[in-house]
Amino acid sequence: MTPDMLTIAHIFFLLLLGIGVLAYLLRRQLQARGLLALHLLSFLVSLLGLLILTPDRPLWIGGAIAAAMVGCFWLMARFENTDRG
Amino acid sequence: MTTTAARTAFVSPFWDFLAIGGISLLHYLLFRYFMPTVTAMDAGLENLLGVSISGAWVAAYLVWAVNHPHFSATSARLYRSRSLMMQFPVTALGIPVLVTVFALLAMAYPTIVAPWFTKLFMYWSSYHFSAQTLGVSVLYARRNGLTLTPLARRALAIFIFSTYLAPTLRAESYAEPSNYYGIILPLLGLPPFLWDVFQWILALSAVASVLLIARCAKTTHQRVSVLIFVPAVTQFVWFIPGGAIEGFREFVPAYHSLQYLFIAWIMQLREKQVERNLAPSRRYVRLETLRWLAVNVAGGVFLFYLLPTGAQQLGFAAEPFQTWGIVIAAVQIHHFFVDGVIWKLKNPAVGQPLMTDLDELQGAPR
Repeated sequence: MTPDMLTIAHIFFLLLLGIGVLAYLLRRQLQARGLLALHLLSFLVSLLGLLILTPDRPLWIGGAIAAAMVGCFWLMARFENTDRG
Repeated sequence: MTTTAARTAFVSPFWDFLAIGGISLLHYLLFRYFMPTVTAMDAGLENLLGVSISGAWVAAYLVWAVNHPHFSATSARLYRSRSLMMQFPVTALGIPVLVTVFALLAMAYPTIVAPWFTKLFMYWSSYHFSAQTLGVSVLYARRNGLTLTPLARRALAIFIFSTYLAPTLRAESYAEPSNYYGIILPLLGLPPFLWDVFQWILALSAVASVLLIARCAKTTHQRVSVLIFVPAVTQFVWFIPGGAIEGFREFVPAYHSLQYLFIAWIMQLREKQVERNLAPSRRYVRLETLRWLAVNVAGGVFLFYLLPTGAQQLGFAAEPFQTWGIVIAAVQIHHFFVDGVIWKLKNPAVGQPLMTDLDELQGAPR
């Protein structure tokens, strides 16, 4: 892993940590759909991180990550709206 | 006696047809059968207007009048009041921070982060088109008095989303990577047979959609308005046969934006009328339309000129041209997040105002 990649990995880790801490601190203020929204964000950040930080991955993993991203867009359609049906 | 199409339309069957995709179908037919080259379009414009104007020039200026205001309209809708922002706090406050962090990372690492950040935007962009197409189709079905069964809705969704997935997967099987504002986009190298699979899925879901919607109409004794099918047919033309036609495909984002602005315009007129208890009148519709358009054109200039120009002053590793592209991608990703949240027809605050029409807004006799 190059120094740049290592820095990016650290930033992604801090982002995920930040979202997790935010979700914990706001667990009483946010409704369930808000908390779910934060977790979906973590999922999307993780997928993007995987694509960026694993350049030499097997072909099928890239395809699987891209498919997961499309699945994430579908979940995002319920983003912050999960209690509206 | 009003026809089914007239009752279903916001303005009139003709204007609704044009706004939700008909104008792009006419453009496609013109290019496919009468004017199959860009040079011919440029000559056609010259004959029509009497001065030399190129199609590329028209597309480039159209973005300021249609594309960019459509992004601005979404932001204006979410950020117009504190109470609305607090309904969606993660989207309204968290997403701009996250997207800004990603954009800064992409500017700092233009060869490592920018390609995948841009790729995220590309994947999501066509998905977003599809979600809007499905939403507009369902909206017109509802105005038509049709309740789509879950199966009919699913068949229509599969058709619409296949028109997005088929060309996206085909592009991933190309040997040469594409270029976005000087950023080389990575390819996943997927097998070409996926394109063949999706052509079958497209054909089967198209037939299933028509049959299932017809069955819904028969059950509820409703005549089906053609407007229900216009968005799906239009998206098929945008991405499959029209996707390779130069002089047409450049205009597709403008047609998507026009479709959006048309629905958002009605929504804006109705919401403001109800919120402020304003009497229906032609004067109200005219003035509010002008005000709303002016605000959104100005918002478009902010999002797509002032923001990228400001970002170029930050001095990150990305070239100025790449920075411009990254900021544009960031603005659009923010739009995809927000749009997915604020346009839920199941939410009565969204679905109810969209059952009005222009006559009601103007107080015109029926």
